[in-house]
Amino acid sequence: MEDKQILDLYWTRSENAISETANKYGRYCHYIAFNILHNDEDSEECTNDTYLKAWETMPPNRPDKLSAFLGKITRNLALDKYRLYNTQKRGAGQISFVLDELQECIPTANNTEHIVDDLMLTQVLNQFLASLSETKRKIFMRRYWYLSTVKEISQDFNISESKVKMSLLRSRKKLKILLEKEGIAI
Amino acid sequence: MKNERILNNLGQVDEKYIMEAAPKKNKNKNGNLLTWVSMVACLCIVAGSVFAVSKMIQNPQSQDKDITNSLEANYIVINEIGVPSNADLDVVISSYISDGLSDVSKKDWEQTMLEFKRFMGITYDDFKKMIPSNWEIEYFSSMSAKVYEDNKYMIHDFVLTYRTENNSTARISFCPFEAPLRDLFVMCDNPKQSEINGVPVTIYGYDNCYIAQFSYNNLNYDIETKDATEEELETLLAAIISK
Repeated sequence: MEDKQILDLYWTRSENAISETANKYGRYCHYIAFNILHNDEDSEECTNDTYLKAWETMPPNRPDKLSAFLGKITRNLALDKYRLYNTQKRGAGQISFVLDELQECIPTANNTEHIVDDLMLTQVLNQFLASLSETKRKIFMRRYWYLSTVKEISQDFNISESKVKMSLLRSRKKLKILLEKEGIAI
Repeated sequence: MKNERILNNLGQVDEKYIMEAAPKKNKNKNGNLLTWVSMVACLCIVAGSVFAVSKMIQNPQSQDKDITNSLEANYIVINEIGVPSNADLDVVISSYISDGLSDVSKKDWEQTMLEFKRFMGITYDDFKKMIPSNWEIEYFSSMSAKVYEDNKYMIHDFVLTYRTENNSTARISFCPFEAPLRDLFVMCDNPKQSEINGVPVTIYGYDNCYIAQFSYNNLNYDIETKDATEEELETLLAAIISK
């Protein structure tokens, strides 16, 4: 079913909206949640919660890109769940590795002038992504948005794992330089 | 933690970057393609058919259906791409609603029709007959650009926009001397080629859009559909690229 028709189902409050969303985007949402939580049961719960959240927010929302809209919800829910669990144990998914890697993007205190709000930081991140080549941007997003493993990225892009790591390393350095240049403290 | 803040804020970046990097559900494998092509060829030999026919689509379950129902001489591969980026174009667009007769002078329209025939080699009336009846003309436009040495705007493309009852749209652009102009850049390394009635066609897909580019009868085409199904696109292409 086309996205427009699925959105119409939400807007007419038809419960088929949930099943059609599950048919089309269930695997996509599960993939995002699983990369964060590394647990089928929790990922399934996150995916189901995504449908519920979508039902609660549409209408009034009518997203242009349904997949990205759902993906964002799933990612936020999974990160929330991860934080909840992380008070007891370290998750087995990619998040701990990803957080360690992202630590390298943090500007040093001497090079920054002001702490920015989330909106401004997101704008800078968009600016950074726009500055990357398409392939580097996709690799960066696969790692830090979808939290895909380096191995999986290397397979999907048909390049070696070391090339993926090198691409990510360069992108992280570039982000750090941009944040410092903009005088942004995190 | 600071790194968590970056991780969280990445969640709010522009959706086009999220979609661009989305993992593909089913990936085309050349090996599968060769297998299916071989199987179809065998079937055709057994049946004594003239055409070797194959159609590869992404869902393996549908491949069975296509093999048993293989009467079309078409072969479709969709090259999935990210959302194309915008480009500024220095062009002058002349648009006529529907068939144009209502809002331009008869003289202008006749002149446009002469240009159309010069481009296409056939009249607009004959061209209309080629388009499947479920596609209704919505806009008829010409796009002029500075393409010649004297720096004057000259007609570069004709652009015809069609719509179906289901609100699928198709924008058909064509140009006799080079690829039609487009304001969205398609980026794809080594795209795979489809074949419609023996003519190579490159088809890209993103979101709910398809872009088909090909040359046929000394014209270069660029067809962009929105909300159309793959079957609608194929039917439209097959109508233009007649056997």
